[in-house]
Amino acid sequence: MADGHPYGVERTAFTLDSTNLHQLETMPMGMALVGPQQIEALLWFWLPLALVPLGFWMLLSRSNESVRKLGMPTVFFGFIMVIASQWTVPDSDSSASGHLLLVVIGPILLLGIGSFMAIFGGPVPVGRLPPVARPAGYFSIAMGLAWLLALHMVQSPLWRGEVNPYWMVWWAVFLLALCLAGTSLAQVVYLFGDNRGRTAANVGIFGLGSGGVLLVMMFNDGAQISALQMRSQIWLAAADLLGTIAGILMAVLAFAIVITLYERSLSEIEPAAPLSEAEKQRVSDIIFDNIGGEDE
Amino acid sequence: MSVDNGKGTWALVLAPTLIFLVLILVINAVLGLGEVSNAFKRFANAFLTAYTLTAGALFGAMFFYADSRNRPLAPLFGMLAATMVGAGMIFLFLSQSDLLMEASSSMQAQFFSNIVHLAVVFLALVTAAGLLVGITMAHITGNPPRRLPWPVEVEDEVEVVVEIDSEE
Repeated sequence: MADGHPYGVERTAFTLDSTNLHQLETMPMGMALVGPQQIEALLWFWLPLALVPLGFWMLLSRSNESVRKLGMPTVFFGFIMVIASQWTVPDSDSSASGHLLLVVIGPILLLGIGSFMAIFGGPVPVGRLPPVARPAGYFSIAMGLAWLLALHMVQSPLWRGEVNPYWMVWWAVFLLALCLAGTSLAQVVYLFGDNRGRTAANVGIFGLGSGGVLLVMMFNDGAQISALQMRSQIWLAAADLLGTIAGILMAVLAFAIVITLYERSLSEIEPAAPLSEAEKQRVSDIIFDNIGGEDE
Repeated sequence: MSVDNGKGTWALVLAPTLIFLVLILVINAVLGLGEVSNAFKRFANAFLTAYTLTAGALFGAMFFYADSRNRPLAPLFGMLAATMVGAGMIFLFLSQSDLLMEASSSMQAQFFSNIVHLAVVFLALVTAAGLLVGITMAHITGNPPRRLPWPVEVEDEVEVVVEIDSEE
């Protein structure tokens, strides 16, 4: 259960024979904060992880073009280093998330590329792809989903001889989010769209289908994950999902309150004094120079 | 079907999701759960971590807002305070012995574990949302409405087609 690692995670069945973990428990707090393993984890996992949001923040920069251009490489470098953390800092339990990223990056790319091809393979006014892109896109999406399903039914990703704990979290949250958001999105399309009943039905069926997969997994064992484990994970995934969404919404609410309070505190702008004759003449000159000026 | 934006509409949007969620959880509970005693801790940790990190990100976004308002300090301090409240609550609750500690041995371990956990949950959420939006957009672009909302200048082509049909 508790692995005692400062960057540790919950690891249900991992044997506690790693001496470094026990050493940390007996270390004084000051030493534990600056231990070599912590510095390694900081350099090879946490800094690359921090580069990902930093890169996205740089992409949003409007003032400096070179900073914006560096954004995407920074994100990419961060992702690569996080994925590589399972080799660069194998002792850190957090690198299990890098292992997860490596496992799911393939299906996620298939889903993303498939969605792109399915969207732009249709009769869109700009950036239209050849007609074959549309069925190929749907095929790619189906392959991505089949790949993810195979990771549950055929061979789950293993980390230190056990199922990667983050895989179970990711898989349960993904399926739950897919079926809940799918039904909601179907309602949105139906209520706000114009004659989009068929689209809403298809999206709703997709969401319900995800729910069906979730139900099947509640009843049947997977390759390495039992039905009971899956039910536990779904229960915990609901807690994760609700907590995360509520936290994000609360932060956005705080942001809105701060801005509203500041805008309300601003004094009203007093009406400006009318232009003097000299100012009017100056304005007329500028307008004349720009509109009615001589041809160059 | 198209409706006006209102409170009732949003209730209609959220209702099936909540019903579905309750249904799944009830079936789950009836079938029998394993070790889920940490569910509340997971919820609280996810809530506090998501709040603090999002508030921190929005604190960064506040600089863009400040750029358009002659760099006022009040909203920056306001958002910094909101972030610090979240961080303070995490510190307070994690230091209360077993209140929010899951399986980690130290407060530091739990804090970093929460961040990685949130990143994994966020990745799953973004993947699911991206897939759903992609499928919806693919359906929408693949099935354009029969009557477009803007004028279409294809009348000449239609006449040609009619002529060909009549010749046949």
